[in-house]
Amino acid sequence: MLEVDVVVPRGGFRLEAAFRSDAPIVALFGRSGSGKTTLVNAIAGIARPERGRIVIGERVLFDSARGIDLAPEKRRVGYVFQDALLFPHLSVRANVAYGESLTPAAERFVDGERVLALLGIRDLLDRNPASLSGGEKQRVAIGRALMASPRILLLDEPLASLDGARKAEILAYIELLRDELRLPMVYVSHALEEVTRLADRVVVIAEGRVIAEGPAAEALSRADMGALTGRFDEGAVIEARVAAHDARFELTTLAFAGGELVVPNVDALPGEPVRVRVRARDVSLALSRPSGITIQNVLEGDVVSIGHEFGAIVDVALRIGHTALSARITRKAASDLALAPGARVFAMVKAVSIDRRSVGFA
Amino acid sequence: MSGEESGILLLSLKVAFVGLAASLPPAIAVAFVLARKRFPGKTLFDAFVHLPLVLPPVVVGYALLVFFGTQGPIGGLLEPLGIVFAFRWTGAALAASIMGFPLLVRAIRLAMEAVDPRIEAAARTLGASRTRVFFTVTMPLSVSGIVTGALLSFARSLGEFGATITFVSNIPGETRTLPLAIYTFTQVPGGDAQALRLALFSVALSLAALAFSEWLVRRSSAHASHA
Amino acid sequence: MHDILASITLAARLIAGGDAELWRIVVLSLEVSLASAFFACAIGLPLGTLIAVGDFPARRAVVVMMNALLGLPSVVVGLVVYLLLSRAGPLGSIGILFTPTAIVIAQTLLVLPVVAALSRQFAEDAWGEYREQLTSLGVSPARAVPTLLWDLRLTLFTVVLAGFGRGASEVGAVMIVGGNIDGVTRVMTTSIALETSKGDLPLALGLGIILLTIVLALNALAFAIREWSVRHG
Repeated sequence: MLEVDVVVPRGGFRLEAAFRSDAPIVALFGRSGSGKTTLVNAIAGIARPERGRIVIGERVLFDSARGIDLAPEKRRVGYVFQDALLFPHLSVRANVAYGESLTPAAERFVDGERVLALLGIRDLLDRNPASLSGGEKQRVAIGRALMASPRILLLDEPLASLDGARKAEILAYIELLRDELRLPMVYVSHALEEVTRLADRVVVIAEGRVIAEGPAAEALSRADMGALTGRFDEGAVIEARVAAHDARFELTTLAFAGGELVVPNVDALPGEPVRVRVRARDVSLALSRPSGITIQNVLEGDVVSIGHEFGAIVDVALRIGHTALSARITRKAASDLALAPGARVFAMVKAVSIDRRSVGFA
Repeated sequence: MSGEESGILLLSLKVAFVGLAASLPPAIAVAFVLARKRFPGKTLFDAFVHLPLVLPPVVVGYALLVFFGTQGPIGGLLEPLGIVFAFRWTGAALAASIMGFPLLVRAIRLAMEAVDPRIEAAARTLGASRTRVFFTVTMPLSVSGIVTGALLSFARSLGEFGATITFVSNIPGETRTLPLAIYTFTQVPGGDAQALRLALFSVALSLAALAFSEWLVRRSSAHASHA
Repeated sequence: MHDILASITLAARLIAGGDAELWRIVVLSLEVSLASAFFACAIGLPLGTLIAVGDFPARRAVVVMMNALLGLPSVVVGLVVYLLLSRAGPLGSIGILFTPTAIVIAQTLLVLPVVAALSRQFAEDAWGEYREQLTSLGVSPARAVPTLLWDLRLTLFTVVLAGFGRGASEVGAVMIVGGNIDGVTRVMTTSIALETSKGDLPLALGLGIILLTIVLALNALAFAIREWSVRHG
């Protein structure tokens, strides 16, 4: 169990954040400059909080009330930085071994061979950090952090300095690590997509404060996420389970608390839990169940509330069974259909709009 | 080159090398403190370190005489221990190291400041104590600065005159370094040729040191761009 | 320590009491240093600026020569001047060896590269800022030199101060070409070097105090000018 409750002064503002998590991956989600990096720096011991408490399991890393402040080298916290930060004067082998040699033999639990294999870096061992590509650097950085047998792994926007294909590659490695190693991770990112795919638990941070905390679907579906996710991506995250596959048309049916979603083929076995992101702008509404249309997903539900009364566009919060959903439509449409809280509507979601990147595996 | 001249050359080299070796550890420490730490009076300390660059060499030599002479506060303490600076080559080495100190510190500090502090932080998260980080990360990455500074300081020592002659006088075989010898030979009738020979050596040594440091600079920047 | 305090008292008395020998030495030092600073700046300031902005055929050669002079040990420069001016040398017939003139020549040669290097640095920075404006107005690099010199006058004044300080601090070359002759070529630096070995501490100390005061005052003035110009753009 990771418990954090700190106040950290930082440059112009102060970070005041508290959260707990025992999920395999907890994500710190928020915009650049919101304080996420300061928070992980505090956990690692690189930034000193003004006051507070940081505990991992039974190990107290910081407790201002009791005057405890463990030096970073004693915390056994692994840290993967945004730009790898490999030691330029050492070979990859020496980089990876750096932390391992500093860990007392009794505390080493990481299987070196397995890590090297998992990350595919054995062939890079004799290379120089400067000659590596961005993706290779990140894999070595992860390997280096792991080889020191940390109790928890912090990753600060590890994909930020990578291009599209590399991002996907490293993301897959991280998912692999999450599943293969029993190592809790704290994943910092401003990219909604990464967070949806990886995290079971999300802590949303804005301007130095935690504004939402909880299971991913819950924390990310709040209507005020717009500022963080960007207007384009705003929407809902739904917890679902793979119900069935349609081999003929290569579609997958996902069941959730309120109905079913048909999406393009999802690479998972029936029964496996997934998280689905549905953007509000991809949801249309109708007063009666339509027929003869191409849209695969028609979900029956109720209007909970209608946002902003001004401008051309409004957000309508819906409830589909037990699940929250959001639809973005023109104000005119809302007026034409006389939408009001409590109204029964049919939400339509194009299967096409739920692409591979919108689905994460829990 | 006569025996006398080679003796002078060897003395100069001894003085310059010993002076450099003695000033390296304190210079590295001072450079680190100036590069990484913040403390009240830092500007003053920085200015103090640069004093030998600013002050006239004879004034520095005089100050050394006051403090490290046999009657002086530090000299008096060291004399019973067998460490004497006044009128000895050790004094010439001290003068050389003091005069070159600011150059050494400046070059090392620049190199240390170029080391990303986050890399040092990364090393700490991997389990390295502050000391270990300094020796396994900071220092290796600052080597170019250390070498450049050493060369600059060494070249400076070879031309050092004012502080040396004021502090330890012009004693043949003991404190008569290359520059002092050049001066001495001009005072001797018929010594002009020898003075010129020594001057040529002095210039050759300085040029060699400077050329070497240029080559190093070019090599390290080629290294960086190749990467 | 006791000795030092006694010497300091004696030195103070020499200074305040207007000791003739001491003040003769000081005045001579100031004269030769001012003269060498003047000549070095008259050549070095425009030269440094020209190197920074100009592109003339001999530029490379001039830069190399300046750097070489800068890197040379001062005694070597002194020796060269000495050899030129000595009776056996090419300019020996003029007979200016062991006179203040010889000191001025040697010091000028030592201060010149310093002034050129500093003014070049400042001019390069300023040229980077003004280049577009000046060239669009049709000002050629050569004509830009006086403009830049005027614009940078405060900064260049600090260069003059630095040059003066450098000259006043020189000892090795001065000793060789001047000979440290009492009443003729004995300046502050050579006196201090000589008197300490002779044991005449109060005179050396008195001169040292004055020299130190001059150099510190120069630095303080240069610092103040820099601060002022930073604040007033």
